[in-house]
Amino acid sequence: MTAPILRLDDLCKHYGALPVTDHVSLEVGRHEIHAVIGPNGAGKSTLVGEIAGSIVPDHGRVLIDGEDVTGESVAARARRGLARVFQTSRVIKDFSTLDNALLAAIATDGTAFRFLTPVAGETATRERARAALDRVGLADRGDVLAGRLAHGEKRALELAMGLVQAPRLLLLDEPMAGTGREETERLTELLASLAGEVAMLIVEHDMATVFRLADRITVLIGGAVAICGTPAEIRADPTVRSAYLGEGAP
Amino acid sequence: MTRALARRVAALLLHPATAIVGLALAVALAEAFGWNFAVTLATRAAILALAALSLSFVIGQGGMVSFGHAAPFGIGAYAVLIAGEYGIREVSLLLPLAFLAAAAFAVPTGALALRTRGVYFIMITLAFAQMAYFVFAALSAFGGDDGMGLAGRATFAGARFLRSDGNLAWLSVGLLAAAAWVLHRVVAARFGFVLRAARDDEARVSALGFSVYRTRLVAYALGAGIAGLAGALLAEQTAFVSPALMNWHRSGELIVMVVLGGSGRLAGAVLGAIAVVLVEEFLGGVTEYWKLGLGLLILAVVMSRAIDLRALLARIAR
Repeated sequence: MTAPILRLDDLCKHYGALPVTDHVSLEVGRHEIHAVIGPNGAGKSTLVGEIAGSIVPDHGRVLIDGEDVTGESVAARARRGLARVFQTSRVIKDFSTLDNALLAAIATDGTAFRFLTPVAGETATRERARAALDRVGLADRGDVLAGRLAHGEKRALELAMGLVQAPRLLLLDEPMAGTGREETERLTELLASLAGEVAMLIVEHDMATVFRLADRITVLIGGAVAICGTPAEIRADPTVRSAYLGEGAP
Repeated sequence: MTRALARRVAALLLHPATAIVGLALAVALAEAFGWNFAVTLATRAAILALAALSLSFVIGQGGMVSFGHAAPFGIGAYAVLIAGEYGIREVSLLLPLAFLAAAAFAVPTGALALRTRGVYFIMITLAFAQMAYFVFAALSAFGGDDGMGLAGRATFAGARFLRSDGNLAWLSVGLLAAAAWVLHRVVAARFGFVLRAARDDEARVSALGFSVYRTRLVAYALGAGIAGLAGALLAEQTAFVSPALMNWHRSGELIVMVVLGGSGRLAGAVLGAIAVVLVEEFLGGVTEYWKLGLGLLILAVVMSRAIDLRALLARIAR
């Protein structure tokens, strides 16, 4: 049995007296899609920050591929194969769509410290960037400035930036936030097509997406893990139903 | 049709490369006709353009608004003075020395300053430059407050090549052109690509796995090194070095040049520097209140929405 790609070990984080991460432990398997759901203020975004490395937990450990990365920077974790899709779209607005993907592609093959070779001449890297755009359906949008893309397209571009890095864990923070019904379905299918290829930890409010994609679901309430189980178990759990899912739950 | 042509001509005339070629032409003409005054002016313009270009790289491409760029500039000048006092007068040694001295100042100060952002970064770079100013003002062995004259101009491969103002002018314009070319390449290469991306969204770039801090520090040191070259050239030209070179006024003036030229374009600063030097020279000859004229120019440029000398002139040309 190999180590899970991500393991959180008794993570704690307080803002003043308020616990936002309360003894959270969870595991994401190598080919698993793991969803984290919970009401607003449950500490989901903080948890994502702790996994990505932008927020330092007060206590506990974060392990990527069995190695303790709790003290490592965002960049160091990214180099271990963690790719992050932000809650609000973070693309480089003044760069073209292709250049955004290219930036991500450059990140994977090592160094930024190349001073005189024009990026425009790096054909192999460019091809990888193009292939990633193709995969998310942005093939013909390569020359458009990323700041001019529609919201759903920006989400797709972010996903392409994640994919081009050939990540081992895709960290998705509300990828469907602000997208329309159709876009959501398209992105969901796109993520589903990646199942088995790359492990994902996905924080999402859209329950249709969560139940369509997730192998396992962790419900976070008040910073603590309320329950963790398969979609069927979560759906059947009476406390979750009343506390979070409500009567309209799928 | 004619309008499009006029616009194209204006764009060509105001292209930074044209400005550098223009400086070279000015030097050639002035030399041919023996206008020493014009040689001196063109040299000064080229030197300040080199300093402004390096700051443009730091501010415009790196997104680091340094208010202390006069420090590496002055350190480059002091490198020439101090090395000269120890008998090093060879320009092929002095220039790398000035570059390294300025970059060596930038690495530790930049390492601290880059831990801050926004207005704090501006303030801390200003503070470091003022510290450098007072340190050199206290160096009584090298003139202290008053500054000190150079024993003589540098040699080149042992020859008294730089005795001629014309040759110094060519060296200055040549270094400006070389620096513009190198920085242009750097901006288009991976390093500049990542630097520009980090300027737009730092969190995004570090989430991709890049060390934004290290990238910026290298860019900051590179900009400082080039400013050091400019300082060394100015020391050669005026044969005099004083702490006033790293006064905060000088830092501000360099920022003005960058803004006038349009901070988004790397080499726009060359145009900004030439504009400031010309205003200083010709208005300064008329009135001691020449800075009022410069102020009006800045206002005009900023108010014209363009914040960009080239765009303004291109509009007038239309």
